[in-house]
Amino acid sequence: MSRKINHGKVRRYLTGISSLLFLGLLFLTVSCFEEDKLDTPVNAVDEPVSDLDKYIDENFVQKYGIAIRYKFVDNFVDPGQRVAPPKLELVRPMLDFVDEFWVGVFADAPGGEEFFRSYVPAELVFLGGPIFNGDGTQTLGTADAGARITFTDVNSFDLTDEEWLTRQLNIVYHEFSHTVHQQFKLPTAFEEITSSGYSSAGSWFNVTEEQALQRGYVTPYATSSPNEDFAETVAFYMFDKDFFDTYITLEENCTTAACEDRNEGRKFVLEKLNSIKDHYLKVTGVDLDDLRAAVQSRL
Amino acid sequence: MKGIKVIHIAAFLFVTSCSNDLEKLTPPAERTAAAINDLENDLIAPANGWTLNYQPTEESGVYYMLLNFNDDGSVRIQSDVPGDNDYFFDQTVAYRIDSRLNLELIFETYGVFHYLFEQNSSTFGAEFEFYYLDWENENLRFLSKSDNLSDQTIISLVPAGASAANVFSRELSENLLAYDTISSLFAGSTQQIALTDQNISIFWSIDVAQRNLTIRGVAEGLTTMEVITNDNMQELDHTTGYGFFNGKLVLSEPISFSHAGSNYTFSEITLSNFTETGEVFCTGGTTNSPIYTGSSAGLGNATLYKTLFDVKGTEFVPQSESPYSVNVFFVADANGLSMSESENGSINKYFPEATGFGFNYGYVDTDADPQPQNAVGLYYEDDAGNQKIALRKFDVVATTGNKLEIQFTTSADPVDDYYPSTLTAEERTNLGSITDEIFGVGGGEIFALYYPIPTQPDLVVYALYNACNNYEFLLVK
Repeated sequence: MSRKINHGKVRRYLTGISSLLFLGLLFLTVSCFEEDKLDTPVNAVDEPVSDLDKYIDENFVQKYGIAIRYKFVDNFVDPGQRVAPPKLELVRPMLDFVDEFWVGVFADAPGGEEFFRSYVPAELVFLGGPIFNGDGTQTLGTADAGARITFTDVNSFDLTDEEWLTRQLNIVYHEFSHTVHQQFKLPTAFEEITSSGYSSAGSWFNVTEEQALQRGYVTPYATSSPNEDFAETVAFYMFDKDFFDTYITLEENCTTAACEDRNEGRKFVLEKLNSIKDHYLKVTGVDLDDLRAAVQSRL
Repeated sequence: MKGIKVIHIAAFLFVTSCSNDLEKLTPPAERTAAAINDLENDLIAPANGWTLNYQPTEESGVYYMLLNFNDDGSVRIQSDVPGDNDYFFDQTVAYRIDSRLNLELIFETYGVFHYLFEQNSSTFGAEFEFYYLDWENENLRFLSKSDNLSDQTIISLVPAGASAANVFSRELSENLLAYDTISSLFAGSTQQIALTDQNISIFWSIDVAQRNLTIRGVAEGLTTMEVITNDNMQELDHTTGYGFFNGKLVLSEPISFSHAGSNYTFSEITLSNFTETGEVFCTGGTTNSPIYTGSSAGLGNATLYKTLFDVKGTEFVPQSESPYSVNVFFVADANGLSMSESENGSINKYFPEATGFGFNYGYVDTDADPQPQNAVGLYYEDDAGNQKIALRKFDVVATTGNKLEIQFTTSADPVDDYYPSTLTAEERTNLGSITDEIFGVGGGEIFALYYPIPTQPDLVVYALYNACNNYEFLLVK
């Protein structure tokens, strides 16, 4: 029996041998250095050395899985943004502040600690001053997709300074509340309550406090989007002791159109607040009233 | 088949060439770690640390520093930068040697570099992140990471001698801050250096934060009154950085000039005795200005005074052709806030449609209803969009050099104290309130200081500064 040579098959066979030889060469080349291991870590993780770093490791990293970034790394901010790091001696007081007014608040509220542990962001960044943007504006606090919360102006740390304290509380409650709608969406039809009052991310700063309230928002920034509206309302409800007087309780004996408009706005704020509270309790198991009480007891 | 032969030969050669005697190239991570370690060791090595004459920008002066790096990631930085309750004189901050595009030196927690970085809303041009550059003899050089690529600051760390700390002149740098308390926001702090043995005075404006100064003039005489009486003044325009070393204020670029037939070179001034017993600039006030006495190399005894005298400011004189005026934005309150823009600014409150601020000083108006010769007020739009003017009349009580004292007129009929006569009583009251706030009730004293606009050198602008309340405004000639 003669066997007919299939040239195509031989070519594929030879090509296969060539490929194996190439692989062999590659293997031989990389295997010359026998001691090199692929499982060697590229960057070893530094063990905490200073008392401060040990404290952070014990009380934040090990306990909650939160990394605290207080030493400057330039990718904390976008190119074009300029900011300085915090004073070393203010890091510990700032940690105590975070522990007291954020971790402690959720620990005090029934169901709060479980929710906190489940959704706490991976890292907190401390920055010394405000972030100066290239366009001359300043950024006071940021959050990044629930993974990072950035505190600015740590170098002005002063718990007796109401303006500073309010700003920091607003940062942490606002940014952490984004976790809720990112994980569980906004309350049903939340966007519809004041659908015509929203401005935009690029124009909210043209809205005054008065106009925001008349439209049914707690701040001008809340008008920028339904997500920010949600976050601002949660944050202000938690830390603002005058929340009801300012945003809920209707002014009596209105004699001006502006007064009537403010009262109309307050009705919307109440409607949104109730919607948020129901949703928050339903999806997180935490009552916003408990969180507010825990915050107010600390102020 | 020929190709397969070649591959076989290559494989054979590789197999036979594999030898443990080959010099092994370490993995990138190890090489990076070694480079970081080497640089860290270099930084730690000098027994007395490193000195640094830090000049963040070409326009700025020099900040003297002494840096001692430790192997625990901390660095002690001593500097001559005052501020924040002497926070920056001696501090220990965290540093990191990192490796990205190049080896980097990052000062990780807040210190003097960051304080300078934050000046002028972080636009000053200082930095706290550097790339390793090279060795220049025994000096270790780094390149700014945050500067624009076309203009990157290079710093040079010089091994410090045992007495490097003796160079610090912190008392001097701190005392100079006292000269800043009575100063024009626009024209800056101005000082007079009286060279006693030469009977001349040098005048400069100085920025104590960025450490640069502009020598604006020289004049015969040692006191302001002598200078005005002698009337032998000469304008100069010499801008330079400066630093503090061994009790001296040292100019980065000395100035040489001739005055009244004599030649002078001024390069530094040694300042040794500081008091706050100088001139009270607000008539009726109680705050004495600072005085520093010392000497200047080659020029003899010298005294550094706070002054509000300005050689070129004496050219602020009556102008018959037209009023002096300025955009209303440039009228500032004691806090430096625009009175037309700030929420509580009285111009914003009473004349929200104001567009300009006018100052008639010897103005001769030929209109049928002429404006007053001396008056101050606002240009604004009424509800119908018509251009309007509202002025309050004053008398010039005295002029001394660049100081002008005015008194608002007080007629039997208040209508006569304002222009036009059609102003309502409310408008007169409001304008009266604004002008009393700026000048003092009934009038007051203001100092005219020349305010150069680098981008418009032909424009003559003066800052009019009230030393009693720190209000001021610009006027364009």
